[in-house]
Amino acid sequence: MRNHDPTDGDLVAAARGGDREAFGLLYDRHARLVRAVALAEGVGLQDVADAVQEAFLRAYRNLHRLHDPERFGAWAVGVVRQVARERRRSRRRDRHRFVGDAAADVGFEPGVAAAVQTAEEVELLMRRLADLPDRERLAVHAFFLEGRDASRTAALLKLSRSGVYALLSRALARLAAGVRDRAEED
Amino acid sequence: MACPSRDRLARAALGLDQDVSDHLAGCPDCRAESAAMRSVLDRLAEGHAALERGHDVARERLLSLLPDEAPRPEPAWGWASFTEWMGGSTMRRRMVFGGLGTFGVLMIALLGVVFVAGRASAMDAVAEAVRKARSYKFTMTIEAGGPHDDGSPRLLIARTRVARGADGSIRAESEGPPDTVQIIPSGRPGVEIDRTAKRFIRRPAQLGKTSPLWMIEGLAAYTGDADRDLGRKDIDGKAARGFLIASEKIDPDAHHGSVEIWVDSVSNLPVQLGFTIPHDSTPFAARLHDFAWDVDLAPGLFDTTPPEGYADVTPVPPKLDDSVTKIVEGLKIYAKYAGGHYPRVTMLYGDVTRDELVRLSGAPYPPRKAADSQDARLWDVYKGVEGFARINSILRDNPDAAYHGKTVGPEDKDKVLLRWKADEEGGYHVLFGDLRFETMGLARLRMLERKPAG
Repeated sequence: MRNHDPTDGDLVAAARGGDREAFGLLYDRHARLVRAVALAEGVGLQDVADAVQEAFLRAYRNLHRLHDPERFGAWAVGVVRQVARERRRSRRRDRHRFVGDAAADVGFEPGVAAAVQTAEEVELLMRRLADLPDRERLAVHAFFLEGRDASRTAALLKLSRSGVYALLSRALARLAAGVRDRAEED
Repeated sequence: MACPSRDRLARAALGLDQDVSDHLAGCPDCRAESAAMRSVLDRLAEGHAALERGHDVARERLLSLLPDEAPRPEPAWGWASFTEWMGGSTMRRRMVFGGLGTFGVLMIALLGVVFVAGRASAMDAVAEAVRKARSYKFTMTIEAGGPHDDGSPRLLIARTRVARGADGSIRAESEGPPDTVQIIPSGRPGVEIDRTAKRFIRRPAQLGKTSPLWMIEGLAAYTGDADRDLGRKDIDGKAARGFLIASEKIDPDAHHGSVEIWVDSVSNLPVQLGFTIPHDSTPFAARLHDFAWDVDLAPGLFDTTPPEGYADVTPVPPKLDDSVTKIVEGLKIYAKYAGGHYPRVTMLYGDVTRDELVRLSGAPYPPRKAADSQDARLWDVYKGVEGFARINSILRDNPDAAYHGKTVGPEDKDKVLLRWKADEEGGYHVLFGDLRFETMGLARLRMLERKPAG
């Protein structure tokens, strides 16, 4: 029945009124960028889902603090950055703790080893993203989370398409160089 | 042939540069470099795809974790949060934010009502005592939300200590945490300070219309009777006498509710005042209590200089084009459901008009289930409120603003529906009955407004 796409301001107003589905639509719109920022802020792959969930829950609880509802996306990015910072501080505090045997006690069925190796390579590469300059890192995350669509990435980051590609090219060159250097060291 | 730069190879891997393909065919090193880049791209895609695959599950989990109640402000910060939650410039906002600046006047005004209502023998002395008071303090407790089964609000919004100086300046300090203070010097811009978050918001002087509920001038014309004599009771150890008055008798454009006043039988000064909107989408009650009269107030209490080091988070004022667009849309929506007329009021309140629009449209507001958010009428309400709030802000902040919804409708293309001062040079912004917008000089505005509304 709806005859127009609600703006973020519409959805925030609805969510403030208790409309959970409206908040779900805000999540659909902005979760990609929030994920990208969480990764860019150094949240590990295994923790991203939790960090994003925490950020959106905080955002929901604090919706009344949002001065400009049309800027929900930018605000949510700020929230996830705060979550990421807190997690970094928490990691520093916890680094002396004994993690336990669970991680080391994982056994693999024969034939799964190749997939595991690929997964490890993916994990390693994702970690290497942390060494990129902020803007390049965010561009990479946003580009892939938007399904390699440069136009959507540009809109998400408020950049031109050429600006996005310039950042991606530089990032890709750095990452490939890093992979090659590591291979040579091994 | 020179090898292309690494950046160029990267652009080729991204599919942006086809001109290097010949070189790659003949250069094993560059071919290997290019392959490594494509591998990196594949790995990155794989890593991010894993995140995307969990989107729907994560969404479902997130929504299941949301609290059952709508997000709401913390008990104390501040007026900004509270008024946002209230949906912009609304009748309730007038009471606790814009209205706060004249809240003290309410007491005098209500005494005037009771006096006019024919209970002169008791109230004449009370009104005189209040008029003589130089300054005073009281505590204001506001409750909203809900309602409970009995229709009363269930959420404590704020408990605030208010001081009013002899010139009408107001200082309101909310109990923390967070600790907040709002300072509204009489006729000048004010400030809201959040001491906990170390930030502040500047507020414009409120020079426009104020509900007669809060202005003695508006009540001077009131000649009705108090609806009920509440009798006598002890309040804080003092014998007090009370009266009840329907709010619509004082301001017909406001939400329908009741105003209650209790005065000290000995000193003739108020000991408690209250305003209640019992049956509304958001029940609301404000109560003024713990009065102290003729107290010494240091001038520094009304200094609007924010503490050093605090962040200025004053929101950017809305742009004129944006405001006009939202106002036009809100009025069109209202007229669509109202059978072709705009809100027929003199003072337009966002929440009062919203509730009327909900009634007219049958919109599922507030939404209770997921399907409600797919109802076009609900979105019309949301859109409409934005426009209504903008009109209210214009009427509140501008001393020379007027809304003629009682006499001007969509067919009155040359009649002024809404106008407000554009600048100090005498220009006026004007919205006509057919929702055309124009900025004009005062002479033309006067000529237009002299025409009888059709």
